[in-house]
Amino acid sequence: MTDTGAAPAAASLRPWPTEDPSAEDMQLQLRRLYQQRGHFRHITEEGLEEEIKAADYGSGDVMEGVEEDTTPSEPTEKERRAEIMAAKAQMQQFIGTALNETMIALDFISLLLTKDSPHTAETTMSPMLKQSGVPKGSLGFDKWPISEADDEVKRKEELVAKGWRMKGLESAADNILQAATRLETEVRKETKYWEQVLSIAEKGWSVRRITRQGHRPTLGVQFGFSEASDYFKGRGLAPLRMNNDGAIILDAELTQRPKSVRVRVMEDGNITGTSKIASIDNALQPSIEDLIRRARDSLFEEELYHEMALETRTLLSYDVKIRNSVIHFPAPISDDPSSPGRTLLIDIVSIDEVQPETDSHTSDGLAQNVAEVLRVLLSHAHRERLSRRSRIPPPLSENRPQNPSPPILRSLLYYFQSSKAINSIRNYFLRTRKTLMSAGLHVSFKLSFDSTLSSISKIIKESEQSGTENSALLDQLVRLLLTPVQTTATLSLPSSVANPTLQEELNVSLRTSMAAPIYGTEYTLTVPHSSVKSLYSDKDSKRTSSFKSFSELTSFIDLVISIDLTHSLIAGEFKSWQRVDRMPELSKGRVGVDPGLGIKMENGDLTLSGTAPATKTIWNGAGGKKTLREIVRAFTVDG
Amino acid sequence: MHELLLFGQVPRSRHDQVLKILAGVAAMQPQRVIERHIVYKPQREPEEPGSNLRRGGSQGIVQKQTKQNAAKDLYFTQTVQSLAEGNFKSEQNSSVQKPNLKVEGNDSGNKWTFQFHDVPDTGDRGVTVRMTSSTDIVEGDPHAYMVAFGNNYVSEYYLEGHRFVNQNVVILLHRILQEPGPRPIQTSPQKSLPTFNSLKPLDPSGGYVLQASILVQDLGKPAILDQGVEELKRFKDLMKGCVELDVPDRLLLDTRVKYQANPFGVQR
Repeated sequence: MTDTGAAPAAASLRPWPTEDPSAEDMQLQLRRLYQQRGHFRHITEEGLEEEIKAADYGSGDVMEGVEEDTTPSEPTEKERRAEIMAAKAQMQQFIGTALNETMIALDFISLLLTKDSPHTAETTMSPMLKQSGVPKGSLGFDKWPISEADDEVKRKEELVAKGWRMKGLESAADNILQAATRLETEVRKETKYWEQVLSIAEKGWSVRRITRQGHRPTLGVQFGFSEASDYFKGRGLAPLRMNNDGAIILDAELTQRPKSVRVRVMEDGNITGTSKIASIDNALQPSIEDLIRRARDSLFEEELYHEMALETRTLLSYDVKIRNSVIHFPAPISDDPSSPGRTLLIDIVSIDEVQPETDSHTSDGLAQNVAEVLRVLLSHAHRERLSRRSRIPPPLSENRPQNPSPPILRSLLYYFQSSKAINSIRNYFLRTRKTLMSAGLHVSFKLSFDSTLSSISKIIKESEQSGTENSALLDQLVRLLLTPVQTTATLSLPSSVANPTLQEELNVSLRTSMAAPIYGTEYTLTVPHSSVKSLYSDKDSKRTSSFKSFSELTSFIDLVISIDLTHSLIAGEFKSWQRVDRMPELSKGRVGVDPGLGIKMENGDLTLSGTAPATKTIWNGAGGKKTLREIVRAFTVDG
Repeated sequence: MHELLLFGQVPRSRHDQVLKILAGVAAMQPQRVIERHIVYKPQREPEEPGSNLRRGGSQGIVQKQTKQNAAKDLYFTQTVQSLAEGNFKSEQNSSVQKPNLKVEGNDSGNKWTFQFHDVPDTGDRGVTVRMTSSTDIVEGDPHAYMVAFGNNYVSEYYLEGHRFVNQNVVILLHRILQEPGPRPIQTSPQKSLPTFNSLKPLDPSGGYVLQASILVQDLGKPAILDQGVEELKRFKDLMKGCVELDVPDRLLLDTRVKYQANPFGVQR
């Protein structure tokens, strides 16, 4: 200590006063400190205290200091050391802080100066700052005088602030009021909208959410049929959007003009009947439910027409054709060429169109029934589709199941074809009977229908009880009515009436089917044994024959009756006549030379012609003529 | 024929809800399904796995190395009878009902089907793929038929649930029912059905299983198979959040008869 005691420089560990001109780098300071005092471990507190005392009182006070030094209890070596270490650590911390702050200050100044003299400033910049990416010259400085605002200005400013605040409050209040009104209208709007939606839902329409790609999900009402074909299924859904005052925007689907299928009956080119078209309820402001119902009805009618139009393509062979969007559907009453041709015209019209008045209304009932049947058939097709869908699907394979259009016209065709066949056979047999009656021959005619038709209610009840079929009653009924039935017409032969032990009958059974393998009506004729003998050879036992055309059938039956009259009746009663094989003729000896007798049944007329002497009698159903027996007896006697 | 399958579990409490959801998804009413399954096991014992039955060395004749015939697997098979609730014995009238075992003339209510399911295929397509075969038995006694084919009666159980069809996906929400109590040892199915209410679910909590399946004719056509897998996965995605459908471990659906060392060769 003594060698350094006279040193004038005093070291301070506090940050250097900035105004001190001798401010130097801390590094230099430290180095100087080190040079002056040697290593830090030689600097002790006592030494420094002594030094301070010496500086204060001069060297003479050294003894006093020594005396003072001895008075406090000397701390032990260990405590002292710890104390010193703590002090050292604190000091180092201070130094570090100071160093850091100076460096930051230096960097700050350097950065500030980069604006004016970038190169100079760069030399003092720390590498950290250079790397930090702070752009050079990004700081600037200026000097301005701080002036005291005068009272006038202060007052004005205060006024302005107050005014501004008032204005702000006012606009806030306005905003809140506005929000309240908006909320109120919103609530009213929503209430109105939801009330309408609720009323739709309460009427039983199914309201559901519609999610479409790229659109906000909206509510929609489904009014279409779930089993409709794809195109119509998509159309059976109308979104219920809200307009500005909460009313529901009517979708285009709902506001279309409603349409309806119209059936007209045309006989010989004249319209004789029209089906009724649902009258539009003439409300000027129809409610949304009315519109939905109207749209549903219209959609159904459109689908019906669409399906029928598609179906006509497969029914061209039945002369079902479409001309100018009108389906022409032949529905003849009977095969008789004299009966008037009847055609059903099916088209779709707007309900609100004024329909032209037709000439007559004789067939209105038929047209109306056909229209109803078409609708029943479409809803039946819908339910058939559901039941097909509910079945376990076939395994996936390469042959895709095809989706044929539902048989609507085909079913109707089946009915007309079947009724035509039955009418024809009835007319034919009635006429034949009348003719034979006029010739004094009494025959009986009977028409019996399939047993399923008479026991239809029983069948349905049974299937209901068995519980295996879980389909609706209507479907079962329609299904039963669509299965091909067999109708049987029976005519007793004239010869069998004369001889009651021989009850021999002509039996015609009719089967109509619009599908494979018949594609129309098949007539199966069963002839009795006696006729088989005369028609074919004795050995031939074929008794039934099938006919596809009605005229073939009638001409064959005519022949059978003629042969029966000649071979069984006349030859049986008048023994002098001999039968001519397989011809409805009789002769008294050689054919063509001896007197002969021929009977011909044609177009409902019975003709008896004799040769040698030539004679001819025709019965056509009109009364007042001699009977066949009388004439034959006279002829036999004459001959 | 192959079957693509996914399974999910539905706790009993959610059954009604899921049933409604499925009715909406499939747009149809649920169809009640009650089936009686009778399980058969082949009379023959399976061979020891891995045995080539040619022990000892060869005589040194260089033979063409024929393919080693692995032990042929034997499978459990079952006959299934479709029932309606009316077929079961009614509670009040406990008189013996006529035995239902024979297929009667045109009684379409009780039709029997012979079913065989193979072990699901290995390979992960995201759905279970297994070979399946189902043959309708038109007439005759199915049990006699099965026995004549070398099968032994094992047990029977009932399946109760509802079926939906969503395009090609057949959805069956069902659970397995059993007759309660210890099963008596018998060699033929019961002659008469118990009352429906006496049957207890196999899962005591009464949980249901949702099975979604698609039938595929031929695995040889990858496009058709992919189409089926896609459709089934689409259905899985559709049901996400309602019922989680998943692929079970294939060995859980193992129908093979396990080999059991049986030194005494006692016929069961």
